Amino acid sequence: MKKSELISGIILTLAGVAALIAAILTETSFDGIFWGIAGAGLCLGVGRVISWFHWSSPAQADRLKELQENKEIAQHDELNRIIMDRAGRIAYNFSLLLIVCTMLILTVLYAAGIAEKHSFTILILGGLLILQVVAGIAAVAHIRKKY
Amino acid sequence: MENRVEQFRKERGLSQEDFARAIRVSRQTVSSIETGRYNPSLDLAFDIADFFGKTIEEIFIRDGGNNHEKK
Repeated sequence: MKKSELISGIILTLAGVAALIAAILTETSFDGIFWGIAGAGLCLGVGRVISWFHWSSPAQADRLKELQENKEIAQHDELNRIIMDRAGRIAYNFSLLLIVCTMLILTVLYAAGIAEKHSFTILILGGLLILQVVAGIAAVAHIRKKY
Repeated sequence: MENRVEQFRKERGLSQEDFARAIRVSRQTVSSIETGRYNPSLDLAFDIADFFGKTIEEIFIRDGGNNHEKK
């Protein structure tokens, strides 16, 4: 396994630890961000380091080679590419429709004085992001059923 | 488009997994080609023909349709 995986794992872990210390020692409005970075950095970093040690052992050499070959085949597989392309098109069209609907809903909510502009916009953007990702995954699963 | 991929593969005693690995595609691609749900690209058709030592016409039989990508 590539040494860069180990190095990036260590860097992520260190960044996570630094963010964790900052989150514990300080009391600012950025605490939430520090906790988020700490969680993400530590989980990804430690996971990557453990993965590196696991796959770098000689006992895993054959399995690792097989997995890498499978990964390469999956990346270049033409049916897979077609599925991903179609899924991307569906997700894109879905996101356009969603944005138009969101604009309409927000306009009504603002006009009626129901929603506060700042906080609501952040929530909507977060929701849009999650929905786009979910739509992409659902589209891949749907198209895959056809093959 | 019909094809004789499954027939030639079985004649050689290969599983879909082994055949897929040999022509460097996923097992799902082989399965979809064999069942006629997916027509391979010309490149892949040549790879398959080369693997079996046949011509493309011996493996793939055109039945009037010309769509590369199934609807």
